[in-house]
Amino acid sequence: MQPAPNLMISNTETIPGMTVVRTLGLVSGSTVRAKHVGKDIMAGLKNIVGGELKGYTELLSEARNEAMARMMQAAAGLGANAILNVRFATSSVAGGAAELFAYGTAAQVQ
Amino acid sequence: MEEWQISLLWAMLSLSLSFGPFVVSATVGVWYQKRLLAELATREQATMAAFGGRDPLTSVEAVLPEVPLDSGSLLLANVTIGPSWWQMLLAQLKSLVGGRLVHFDRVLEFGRREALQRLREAAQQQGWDDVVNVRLDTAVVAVNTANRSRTGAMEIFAYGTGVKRGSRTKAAPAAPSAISLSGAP
Repeated sequence: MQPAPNLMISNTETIPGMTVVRTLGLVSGSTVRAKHVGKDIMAGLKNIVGGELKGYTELLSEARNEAMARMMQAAAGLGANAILNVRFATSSVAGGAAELFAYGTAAQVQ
Repeated sequence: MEEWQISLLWAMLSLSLSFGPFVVSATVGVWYQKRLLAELATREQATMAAFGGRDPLTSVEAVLPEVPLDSGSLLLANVTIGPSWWQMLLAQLKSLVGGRLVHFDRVLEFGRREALQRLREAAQQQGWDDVVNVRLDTAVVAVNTANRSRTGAMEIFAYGTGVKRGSRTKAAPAAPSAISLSGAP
């Protein structure tokens, strides 16, 4: 995975304190992740008492960061320095796999 | 060892293997989840106090129209939670007659509050004054391996934009805690 470019990101219509010069279109990034068998067993045991399943929390936030990084690379490729109004979606695609998807509008701001 | 002793041992072993987890779940699990909720309440109070006694989270785009903002950045927080085996059993029994599944209510309420609290903590750590446009997302990530029809894990994902309030105010100073629509009770 390449390091993510340095961009300003927000889920609001503008970047606070900045003016949008022009928008460059929709950018998105996604990743599909399967669960780890070891983590699955640990989560299954933790399920007996309930509460947080840390293995999954970490796995999903890692995956979401990867989806974000891909979106940021797409935006940098368009010459943007910001991504506006970022949204996320999560869906389970097949047994034990989840897709994490991030999208937003690439823009140039000042 | 006599034959009846062996069969008694065998019966005890199989009983504890099949019912043991549920007993642990109903005792340790209930205690553990209560403790988690108590810890969460303490953390919520500590963070709100750090923000001057108000909730920094809002689900609207701007803190207040007259408050200018200097800078902002996206904040993410997530938590994956699962109901305990005991809660799943109770929910399954309850679903025979339908109605409100109070046990799942509690699990989801804990998850939402935890995710929002993590968002507040992220904002506090990075030094933002408010988090605007907070959104919550829930996704089922795994089904229980013991019974494929039961939900084993749910992810609660919270995100918003951390903002820094500007030093100058355009209009008359407004009450800083006027908006506290979202967030945990």
